[in-house]
Amino acid sequence: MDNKRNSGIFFNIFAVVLSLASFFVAWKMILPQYVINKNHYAKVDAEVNAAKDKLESLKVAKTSLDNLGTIVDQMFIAIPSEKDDPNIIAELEAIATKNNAYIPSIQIADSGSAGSSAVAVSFSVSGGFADMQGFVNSLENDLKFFSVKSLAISGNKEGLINLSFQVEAYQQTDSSLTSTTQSSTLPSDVSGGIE
Amino acid sequence: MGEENAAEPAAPVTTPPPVVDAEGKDDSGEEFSAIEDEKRFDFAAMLNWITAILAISAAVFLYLLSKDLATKATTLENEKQVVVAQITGTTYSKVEQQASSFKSAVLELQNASQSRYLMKDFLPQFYAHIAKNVVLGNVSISDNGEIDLDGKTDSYNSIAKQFLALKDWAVGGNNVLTNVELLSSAEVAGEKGKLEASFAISATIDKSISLSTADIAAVSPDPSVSGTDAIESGGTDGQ
Repeated sequence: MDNKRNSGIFFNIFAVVLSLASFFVAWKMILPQYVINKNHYAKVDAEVNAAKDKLESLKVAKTSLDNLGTIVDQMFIAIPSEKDDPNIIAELEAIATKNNAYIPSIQIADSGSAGSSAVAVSFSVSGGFADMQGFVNSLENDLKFFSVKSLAISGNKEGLINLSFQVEAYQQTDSSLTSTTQSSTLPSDVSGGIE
Repeated sequence: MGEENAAEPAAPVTTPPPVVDAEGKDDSGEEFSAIEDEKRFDFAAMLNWITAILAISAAVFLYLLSKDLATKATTLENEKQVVVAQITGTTYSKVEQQASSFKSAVLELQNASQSRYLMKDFLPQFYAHIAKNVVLGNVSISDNGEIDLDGKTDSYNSIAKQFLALKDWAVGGNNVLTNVELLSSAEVAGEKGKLEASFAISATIDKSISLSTADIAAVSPDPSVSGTDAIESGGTDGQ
């Protein structure tokens, strides 16, 4: 009878110890790991969703760019990604040649104002009246975007007209300045891109 | 005595209560509350074991849940690697760069277009408002829209007409030139002894008025105003 009673008490205590041990293990070991795994899962899930969104937007962008075709190339000629003095000179010379005009000199400088993408171009051109009208037309219709800021017109002794131009050409601004906040939600290895 | 004993009714036989000693044992030496104790023991043990089973189950459940989350996270990590590999691949990184550049170019073009004033629209209409007998010497147009011009004509009267032609130049009821001022006017002797009237005019272009070459047809200046060869004749004049 004593043996039976002792073993009963032993199992009773064992059950209590088992309960406490389980509780302790769950509370101190499994639960913290669970919280870590849960947070990690949520983080990875958000990153995957952001990456998927970005991939989707890139697919849309690719389709749009494909549909735009040559317009994209024309846009990059109008507003190049960086300062392109040689192209500005070549373009002005082409316009002058087309209109039987002559450009003695061209000066190109940054506009100077902070954050501006404008490139200041100064030049003079001379030719007949109709050709000068044609030059102004060609300059403002050119694929490369020029904006006439100031203009001085005068005649010379050879019967030609002199036009002195101050024009601005443009280049793309830093795309990181124009990108919006969406990229901040992307994982670090894919951030800094398109909206 | 024997009769007396026979007449007496038999006294009921009662079992005396067992003698219990200090240890709770009766005289036979067995536990008297064994059954009750056994019942109490079973209930407590059951409760303890149910608690233990629940605690273990909860711990195992939590562990499995945690393990499942870790597995799912690993799967997602792999999925992310695949998507990121696609994004950072040649095709899409080029698309991204191109799209970003295109967007930047469009924004830049939009801003620049808004501030651009088209000389190809202004100049033909300006010439259309220069009288035929006026020879322009210099015309300068600044970034803020100030226009200065000087030239020669045959009389003060012609200067006045030219001044009014520029002052009254309007599109859709709005004057294209504002603050028109006659800066100077003088009569001087020309090369062949003929009197010439020189003048200088300043004004400000209202850049908010949109001009187009189509508007030239609508221009109805003074009959003496001819237009497009004004500068050309100025050039021949050698100013």
